Amino acid sequence: MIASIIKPGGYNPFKALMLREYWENRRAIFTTPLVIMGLSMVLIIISMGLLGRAIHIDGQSYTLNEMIANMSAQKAQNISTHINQILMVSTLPIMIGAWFCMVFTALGSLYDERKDNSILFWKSMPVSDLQTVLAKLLNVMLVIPFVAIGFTFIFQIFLLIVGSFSTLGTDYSAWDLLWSSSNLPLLVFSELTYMVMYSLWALPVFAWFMLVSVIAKRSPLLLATIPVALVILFETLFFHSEYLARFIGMRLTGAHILQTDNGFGQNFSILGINTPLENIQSAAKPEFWIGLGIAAALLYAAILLRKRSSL
Amino acid sequence: MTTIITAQNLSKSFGSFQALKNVNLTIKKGQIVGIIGANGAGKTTLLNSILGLSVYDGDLNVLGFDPYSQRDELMKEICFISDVATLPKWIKVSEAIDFVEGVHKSFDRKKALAFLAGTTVPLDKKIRQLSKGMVVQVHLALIMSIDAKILVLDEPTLGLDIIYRKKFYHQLLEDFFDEDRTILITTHQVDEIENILSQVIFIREGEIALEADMEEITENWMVLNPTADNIDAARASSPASEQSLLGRTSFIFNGVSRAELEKLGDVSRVSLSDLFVTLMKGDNDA
Repeated sequence: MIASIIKPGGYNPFKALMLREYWENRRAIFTTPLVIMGLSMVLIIISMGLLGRAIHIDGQSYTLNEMIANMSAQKAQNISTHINQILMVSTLPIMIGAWFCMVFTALGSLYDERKDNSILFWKSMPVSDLQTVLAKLLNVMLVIPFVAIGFTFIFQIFLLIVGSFSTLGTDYSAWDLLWSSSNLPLLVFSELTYMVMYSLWALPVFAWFMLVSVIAKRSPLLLATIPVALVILFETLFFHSEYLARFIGMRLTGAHILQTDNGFGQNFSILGINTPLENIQSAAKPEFWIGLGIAAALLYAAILLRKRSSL
Repeated sequence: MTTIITAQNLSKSFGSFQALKNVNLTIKKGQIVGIIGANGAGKTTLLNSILGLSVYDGDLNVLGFDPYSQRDELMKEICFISDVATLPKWIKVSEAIDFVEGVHKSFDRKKALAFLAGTTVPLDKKIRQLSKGMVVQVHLALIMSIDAKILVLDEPTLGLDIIYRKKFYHQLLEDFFDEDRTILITTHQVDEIENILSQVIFIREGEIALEADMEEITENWMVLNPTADNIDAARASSPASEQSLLGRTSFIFNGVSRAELEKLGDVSRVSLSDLFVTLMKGDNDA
């Protein structure tokens, strides 16, 4: 199926560039989330089947039957909230894995081609540096997280199926308990909008990674982090402020999207599931557009520098 | 013949080092041009400027484009093999074909596949799994299936054995070259390309030491192997250089008539490598 989507159809430069990203970063895009999903599935099956059917939620241990009984005793609304929270949290391993893939792909994006000299081959092709950098950016900020969300969707379905199996032989209905109380389409839609907004909020940081990847002579990771750490230290020591640390932290955690008007920490909960609209509404904050402006400047510099670098 | 490359006062510095010093150059369509010079003479710098891969001072026009600012447009018309290391290691041969097909309008997939069918290159293998010779063949297959006007080869056969090198140049002439196309080559194996070149450019320390058609070179430059009693006479007729090998002394002359030299001994055509050595010594006014 994937092979047919990613088959090039003759002359189509931008598609070819995106395919190049896929071929080069197959592991980050595809293998990593697949492996994490597979491992999570195996862990769930093992923990349910072999390890006494205990599930830990909020520091308490339940067997599955106890949990089902417990849940069935609650109101429908509570069940629904619980199920959706579990499904939401279940995406974390895959999404955290994808996040690391995004960071390292961004750091390698314009560095690897210089390291293996293949930049001369890429530059011998009639595609502009602008197109190349854009393709790399889209790959990091959209392709990697979207494929990961696809895997989280499969994983969520898997959880519901496994959950349904465990209701077999009990009085409870899998449909009532699990399938109708979870709102999977809304959940996935919410994850997708969250991801797009996350990518836009975090864009200045990732644009910085890409700029570093075009400059770094060796180890883009160190060059991307150490100077920033020094500036943060400098700012703390001499100005007793932490604007830069806050800026980076807020953007990398996606806090701006989850945060309501009450300010950081007050109404912030990783379990709070935003509606798609709430996710998009974070674009109304001025910091959102300031971030995009900074990202555009950093990317422009990256494009100019790639134009100059031939080795 | 149409001029396809013009350079005027082309200069390029790396810090205080001047890699190119006011180079003036014209290259016409349908030539096979050898760019010859010692290591660090500025060959690659010149080619990189022509390809739009580096910034330069002065005027440079390639096929009507300004190479640096219009590299992506220019690359529709120019193909380029720098050395074997440039194909990315992680790409599969089939993916490389897909990619070039995707970005080059004039790419002929059938031609590339037909070319590779004549080799032992497996399409489903990654570049890192291929031998050096195979990598060059893949690159050549890609390049020759693009309908390009200029082909730039910067040490294309570096690290290849003699069989692959011969094959490479043979395929280049058979399958790529025609009078509408132009090839620029740099290599250290000057002797191997001597018979296919139609024009040579010698570069020394960032300057053009000599630019000439091969015919002009055979007309003007000659090697004299004087008979033993004529050695002093030959030396007196201001040769461009003198070489002694195994007790035999030979002289290279520039612009002396053949009839005159034949009085002193055997006259033969100069090889590019001898000419290269002569020019690099700097004891002539060419």
